[in-house]
Parts: sequence; C-alpha cells; structure tokens
Amino acid sequence: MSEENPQEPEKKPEPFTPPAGKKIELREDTGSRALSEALVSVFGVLKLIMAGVIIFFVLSGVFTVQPNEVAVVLRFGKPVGQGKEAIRKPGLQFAFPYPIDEIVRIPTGTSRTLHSDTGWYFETEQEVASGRPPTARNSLRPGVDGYLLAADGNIVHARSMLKYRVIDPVQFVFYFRQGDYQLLQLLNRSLIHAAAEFTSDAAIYKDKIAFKESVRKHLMESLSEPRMGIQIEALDIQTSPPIKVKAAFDNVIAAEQTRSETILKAEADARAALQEATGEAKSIIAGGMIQSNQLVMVIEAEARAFEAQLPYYRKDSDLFVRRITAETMHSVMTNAQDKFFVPLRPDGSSRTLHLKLSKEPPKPKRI
Amino acid sequence: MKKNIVTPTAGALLALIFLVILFLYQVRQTEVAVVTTFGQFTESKMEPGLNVRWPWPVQKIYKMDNRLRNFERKFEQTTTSDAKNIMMTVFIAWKIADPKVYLERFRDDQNQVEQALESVVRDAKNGVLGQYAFGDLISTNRAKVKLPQVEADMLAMMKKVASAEYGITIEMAGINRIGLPESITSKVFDRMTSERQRLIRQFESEGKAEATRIRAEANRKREELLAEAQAESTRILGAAEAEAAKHYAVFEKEPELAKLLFDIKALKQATKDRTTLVLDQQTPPFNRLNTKTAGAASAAE
Repeated sequence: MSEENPQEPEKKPEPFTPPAGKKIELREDTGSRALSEALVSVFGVLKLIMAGVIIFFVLSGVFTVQPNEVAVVLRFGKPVGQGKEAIRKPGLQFAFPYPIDEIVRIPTGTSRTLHSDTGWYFETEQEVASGRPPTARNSLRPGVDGYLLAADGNIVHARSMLKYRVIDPVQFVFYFRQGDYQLLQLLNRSLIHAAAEFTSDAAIYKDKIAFKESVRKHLMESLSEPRMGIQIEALDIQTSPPIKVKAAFDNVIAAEQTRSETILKAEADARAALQEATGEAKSIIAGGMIQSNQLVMVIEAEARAFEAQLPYYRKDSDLFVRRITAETMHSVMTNAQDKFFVPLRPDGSSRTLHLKLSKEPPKPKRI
Repeated sequence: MKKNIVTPTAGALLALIFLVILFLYQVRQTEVAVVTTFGQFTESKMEPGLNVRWPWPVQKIYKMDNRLRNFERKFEQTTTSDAKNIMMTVFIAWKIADPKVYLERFRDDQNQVEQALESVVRDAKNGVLGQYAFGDLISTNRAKVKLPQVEADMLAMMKKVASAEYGITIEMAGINRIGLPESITSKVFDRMTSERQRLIRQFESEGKAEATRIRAEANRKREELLAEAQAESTRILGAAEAEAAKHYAVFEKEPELAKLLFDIKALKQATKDRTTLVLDQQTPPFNRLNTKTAGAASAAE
C-alpha cells in the first residue's frame, strides 16, 4: 500500500502562459481565412441586392400614365373599379406589384387611321408612287381587284379613310381581340351596303355626299351593337369608275356639259329676244301714242284752219278756190323733180304717152 | 445567443411563393379558364379573379382568350335564288360561349377552329343566298335592298350550329365584299360603255330639244308681247280718232270748202318727193298757153 500525504493538495495544471517577451506564432491557413472574408463580403453584397430587389419590387407598383394614354389596373386579372372608375388618367399612379396587379396601357390621345381598299383596284407600288392608275384590264380578277357593286348592277371603285379615337378603352381593348381589324371589317361592310343603294352615277359623280353619308350611317349603326367604344372623327371616301370605262364616263360628263351649255345659250338668247321684244312693244305703244297725238293735233289744227278760212270762202268762193289752186300748183310744180308738158295734137286731141319702165325689177330688201 | 431571423423569413417567403404558385391561379379579364382534375372536366371559370386549385398533376388549368375574334371566309362563288353567280366574302365576330365544349372540340387550336367556322359560314352563306334573288342584294329602290336581312338570316343560322356544336357564340355576321365572276365583269364593262354612249346621245338630244323649246317659248312670248303692244297701240289710236272725230263736225259747216282743203292737202302730200308731172295744155293754168283755147278760157273767166 502506498502512502500518500493527504495534507498535500493535488497540483492542478496551470494554464500556459508564454514567457515574457516571447511571441508564439499560431499556424492558420491563409486560404481559409481569405475564403472566410470573401464569404462575409459576398453575403453583405447579397443582402444589399436582396434589399434592393425588395425595394424595387415594392416600388414597381408606382407608374406614370402618359398624356396620350390611359391605364387599367387588373388585380388578380380583374379590373379595379367599374366603368369610368377603372380608368387611370395621365399622371403618377399606384398599384400593387406584379403579379398582384397588372397595368394595361391603352393609347387614346391620338387619332387612329384605317384605310379600306376592299373596293379599289389593284395597284403596284410603282403605280401608287407615280399616282397614275394602272393599265385598263378587260376584266377584274376576283380577290385581286377590289370593287363594289352599285345598285344599277354597275361596277364602281371606292376606298375610304377613317379617323377615329378610342373613347372607351376598356370596351375596345378587353372586349375585342383585334379592335382595329373589327372596325375595318365594319367599314368594308358599310361600303358594300351603301353601294347597293346608289347607282354608279350617283356614287361616282352626282350624289357623292349622300353616298358618303350613307356609308357613315351604316357604319354608325354597326358600331352600336356590339358597342366598340370609339368615336369617328373623319370619314373620307374616294370613288371612281372602272379604268376600262373611265373614258366613256368622261365623255358622258362632256356631253352633259355640252347639254348645259346649249341650254344656257338658248336661255340667254331667249332672254335677249324677250328684252328686245319688250323694247319693241314699248316702242309700238309709244308710236301709237305719238300717232294718236299727231292725229288729234292735226285734225284740231285743220279744223282751226278751216274755221279761219271759212269766212273768206263764203265771201267769194270762186276767188278763194282759184287762189288756193294757184298756190297749190305753185307748190306742186316747185317740188316736182321732172315736169313734162305735152302739147295737144294739131287737131286739138290729146296725145298718148308710152312710159318705158326699167327692165330690171327692183331687188327685194333683206329683212 | 443572438437569433438570425433573416434566413427563416426568406425561407418562409420562398415557401409561401411556392405554395401560391402551386395552389392559386389568375383568370384575366380577357380570359376564360377550364379546370380539369386528372383529365376530367371539373369547372369553367368565366369571371376574372384569383382562384384556388390543386397542384399539378391533380388539376390542370386551360386558359383561353375570351374576347371577340374575327373570322373571314374566302372570296368565293355562290348562287342566288334566280341562278345568278356572285362572289361574296362573309366575316363573323365570335367568342367562346361554353369553354368546356370549345376545349373538348378544339383544344384551342386555331386551325381547327377556323376549319370548323369556315364550314359553318359556307353553309350559312350558300343556304341563305339560295333564298334571295340578285335583285335583293342591290337595287335602285332602297326599300328593296335586303342585305341586312341576308346578314341577319346568316347570323341566325350560324349561331345555332356554332353554339350547339362548338361552344362558340357568333355575335356578328356581315358581308364585306360582293363581286362577280371575272368573265361577267367584262360583260358589265361592255354594258356600262353602251349605257354611257346612250347617255351621251340622250344628253345631246336633250340639249337640242330643250334649247328649241326655250327658243320657241321665248318666240311665243315675244309674239304675245308684240301683239299686246299692237293692240294697245290700236286702242290708243282708236281713242285718238274718236277724239279727232269731234273736230270733224266743224267741216260740216261748209263741205265744199272741206273737200277742197282735203284735196289740196292730199295733192301736196302726194307730190312731195321726186314727183314727175306730165301736163297737157288743158291743165289749168297751162291752158293759158294754148292760143286757141286761151281766149275762150279768158272769155269763160
């Protein structure tokens, strides 16, 4: 048995303390330390990125509606608000981030334009650029050359340009998959319907305004059901006869012009003739008045002269007659251009005279 | 020990997003959806909004565009009731009415849809146009133009078939092109040219006839005016002669003197201009030149 001194406490190991003035070099891996530091940095950057992403996600609901557009916010696919309340007007707007809210922008401010060529003949790009119509063909190719059938069974060409604005964006965008195309179909249909009611002459020349109004009327009717949510700003329609018969149409116009000119000239002649006749009638009436005045005055003067001479006649009628006769002979003989004195025959009888008149008859006067 | 809450929060967020993706789905305003469970139809979602679902492969969601779409039939020939051949294009505007039927029938394959619609439109076009004459499509009498009625009949026929068989509702049908076979168009040109020539002749003759009528009318008015004026002049002259007749009474005082004065006046008037006088010895006072009769004349005086 070994004896141990119970008085003597057991010695505890003392912690290691380096001797004063001596450094102990710890052996650590440099690569691990660099990796550790890099990971710390990366995690820092990732935290920043995540914070940025979160901030961006939250702020992505803030958006601006431009002046020429409106916006509709779909929350879980359903418009927020009903009717006009669903429209977000230009300015700064707020919504929840996607996928909670979805922003649908709809351009409205500017006019949109549609061109309908369903009734127009085929033109190459060069022909369009030059502005000259294509060469006339003897027939029209189905599906290539567009045209309309007029009420009189004739063929007319027509094309139209429609300017419109979207006034109900929700209806136009959410109800129609291709609103523009739908509108073009309706415009084409309106042209067909209007042409079916107008003769080719009316559609091309005589009643173009009424034809255009008819197209507009048909279009407005078709826009009401289903409602498209647009407003028509302008509708322009150009019509033309087929190229093949255009010259014939032009000749008709020329003939109409000639007819109008002929009638106008006749009307002018008639007016002139009537004015002349009116003047002539006035002249006849004035002549009658002058003649009547003269008649009365002359008779009146003769009556006065008669009364003046009556006392002298009654005093010595024979002398009066001789005097008057002598005065008259004087006057007559003075005025006479030629005077022939034919002596009596020796037996006291009168001679017979033969007058030789001009051989040529006088020419009739032109009226 | 300090707890790090970022990691569990991020994990929970990711888990939430994952669950949302698995169990929720949206139907947009422009869509309809069909839900199938293990391939069997479960329900249709016609209204937009957020909906709950069992995740794939339990349930599958089919989304389809529910807006009004356009379809246009080719420009092809058909015949009217009076056996006239015409070319026509019909367009329709359609949308999904019954997503279940539509999905089962087409699987939203546009080619299949268009093939089906083409058949529907062709049948309706041929069927309806066979009941109308060519004159019902175009007419100078607007009341007789039946294009709207033709369209309405086609729409009714197409609606019935499309709704029952395809789950589609056709909201509009219209004719956007009418034409004639190519060979007919050349004949129309000939007729139009003939019409123009007839019009030219008509305008020419109308112009001449109207001008003649206007001139004749003017001439008639002219004659009327002149006749009226002549009548008025005669009336005035008659009145003047009546007035003058009052003065004739004076001449009755001595008719012989009156006759003498009238004769003298007439003689002076008759011999006023370029008169040629042929006289003989018996005409006073030239009888004085006659020596044989001068004495007798003097004696008589």
